[in-house]
Amino acid sequence: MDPKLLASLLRQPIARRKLLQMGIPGLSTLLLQGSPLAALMGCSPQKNRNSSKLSGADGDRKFLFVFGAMGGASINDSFLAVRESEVSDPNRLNVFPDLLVKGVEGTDLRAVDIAIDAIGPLPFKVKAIQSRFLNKYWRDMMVVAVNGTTVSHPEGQYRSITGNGAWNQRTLQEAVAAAYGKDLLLPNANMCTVGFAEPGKDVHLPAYARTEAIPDPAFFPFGLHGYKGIQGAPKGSLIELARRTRDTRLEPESAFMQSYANNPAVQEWLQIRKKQGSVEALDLINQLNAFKDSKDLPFKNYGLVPNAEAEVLRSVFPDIGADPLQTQALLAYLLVTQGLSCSVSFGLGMNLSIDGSDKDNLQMTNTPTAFDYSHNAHRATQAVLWHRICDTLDRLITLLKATEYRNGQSYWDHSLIYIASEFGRDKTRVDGAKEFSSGHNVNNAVTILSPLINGGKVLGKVDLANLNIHGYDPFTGNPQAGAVMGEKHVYSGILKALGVETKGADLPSVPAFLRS
Amino acid sequence: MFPKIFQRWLTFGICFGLLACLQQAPKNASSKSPLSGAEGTKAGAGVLALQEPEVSTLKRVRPRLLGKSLAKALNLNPQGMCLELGKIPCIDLVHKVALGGMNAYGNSQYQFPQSPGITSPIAFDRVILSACIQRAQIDLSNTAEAFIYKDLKLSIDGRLVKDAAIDAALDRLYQKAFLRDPSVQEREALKDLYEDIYHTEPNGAAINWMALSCYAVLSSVESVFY
Repeated sequence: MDPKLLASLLRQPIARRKLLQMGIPGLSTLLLQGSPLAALMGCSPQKNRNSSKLSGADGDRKFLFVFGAMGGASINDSFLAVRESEVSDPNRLNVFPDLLVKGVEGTDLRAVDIAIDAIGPLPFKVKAIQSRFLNKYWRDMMVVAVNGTTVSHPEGQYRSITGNGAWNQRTLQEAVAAAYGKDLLLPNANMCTVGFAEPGKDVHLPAYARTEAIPDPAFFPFGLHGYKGIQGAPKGSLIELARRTRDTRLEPESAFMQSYANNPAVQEWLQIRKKQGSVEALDLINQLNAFKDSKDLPFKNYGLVPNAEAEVLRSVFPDIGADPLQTQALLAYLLVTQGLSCSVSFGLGMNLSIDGSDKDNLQMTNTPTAFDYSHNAHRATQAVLWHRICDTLDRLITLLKATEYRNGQSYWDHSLIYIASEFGRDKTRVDGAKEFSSGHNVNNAVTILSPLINGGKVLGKVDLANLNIHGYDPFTGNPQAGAVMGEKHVYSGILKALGVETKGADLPSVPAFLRS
Repeated sequence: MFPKIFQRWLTFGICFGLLACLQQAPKNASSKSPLSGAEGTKAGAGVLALQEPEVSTLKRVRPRLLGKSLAKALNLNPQGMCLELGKIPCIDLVHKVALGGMNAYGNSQYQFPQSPGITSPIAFDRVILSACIQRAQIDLSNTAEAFIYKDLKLSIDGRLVKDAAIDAALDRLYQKAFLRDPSVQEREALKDLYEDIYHTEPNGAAINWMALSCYAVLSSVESVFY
């Protein structure tokens, strides 16, 4: 099917000020329903209607969000940007005019606000603002120096989530799912691609912690019910009769099953199929559907009823469907707050995306090959995509803060977002060029957002002679010239912050990650 | 024409050959129809279990194969066999990865999934159920020309009239799906399914049974692997 047609089918434009237009009665109704809107308006987190699904043992459950910043997200172009006046050779180094670099007093965190006329040869204007995000979240933000070990995209991505094989090639997502996801239906959901989507290789990983790949978040809910939404389908009670006949009489009777019943692949299929009833009982085909019923998407004609709170959710993520990243982020929120997942991964894809809602001012929202388009136009690519990351994560965190996990604490109080990237980019430019190309550079730093970490801190420091990021003392967090910190330090620090038991894993101790 | 000694050797050779074929059956399991499981067992005969080879050759049916095989088994248009919301293709798009496929262009996914996910059996069910409903609706509209449920007779109140056409329909279903006849037990199970359906929901019991007997057979593990 034509992708344009599909995009148009799934695009559900919603007026951003729709809620305000609803007036006070509309808002009151939504508040009574316990929607996240209250917190969006500055109130405390609203009661979670799904808290009944949460088992007694999960009071200390933590949630990991891995954002795959595909292609090389350079920290020198975002939270560790350097001003021209701070270096002796500004024409040679990737530094910014002083006025474009913002900071937060008392921290080393920075942000770049910049406007650019085009993305290299691509005629799209860029207006990127990072400072709003920094000012809002610096207390929960930590930037951590990391020296990667490869300049290969897939391998670098994989190493960023396994700490370069720090714990038997177990990914961070798998480790968190193994720790907190035993009683969840979908502990480890992954919407990423390439190396960020690759499962780990730890043979001791519990089966329930394995990655569930979600290639398209817009379509995912359809795969969560065996017959709802199929026109002409018999009643559920009749389908149950057919399933029982299949499971208890046809299959045991067949020569195929008598021959292959012990085959691991058959066993695995049957084990997963056993969960089908539990999945269907949660009505996730509707609960995870935040689209609006319309002529193009006639859910109601097919007996489907999208999530009752979808209108509020779409006010935070107004471009779901058309914007793959917003669609992913909203599904990430729903998977966690519906009590299904404790680890959700999403991020930039390789395909370009354009926001065509304003025909006179088209916006490129994802460059071809994401951050790797820095080979063609470093500065604009980094600006577009960092802005996009900040914008998307801001929306996600807003919703997480607005939704109660339990006992008055929000989901955000239990969450950690790791902006993973395979490596950084070259630190130099020629003759002070405003736009230039960059290669891959293993020296970089990654950003972690969470109330559980030592916020407002930079672990490491920029060397103003060459813009490389120094390592740090793992205990104090103080910068240490010459110290080289690898992927395993990030891996270890994240798991510690999330309270994951790592006994026997022989991970490096990095107490500097933890909030004192 | 042949001397007696040759006739004896010929008879012995045929018997030996048949025996060898039976023993070879597991090794040939992977060469059968994609939607088929065991080699043909005749109705009324006992179920002939195959011996699984030490190195399993069992493979999961991938989306493209599923689509083609299902369309052929039920004589349906593969493009319209399963469409979410009546317009979005199930096999090629919506459930492609859940059904074990890869999505290189859309999602930079260059390998088949290593194992099925939680949505895999559900997606499989949706595809099979959609196709079976279509087949049942088409067949019921003109049972004389039906592809699977041919010559089924309905009473005035919509019940199936029990006659040989039911057995023939089930034979046809199994032949199209697995290239074999159903065993006696399998036939009985599906006939009992009709009774269960009728007792639960008499209205539309015939068409519901047509769709669901097809679904019960084609969504079984025998369809998932080859």
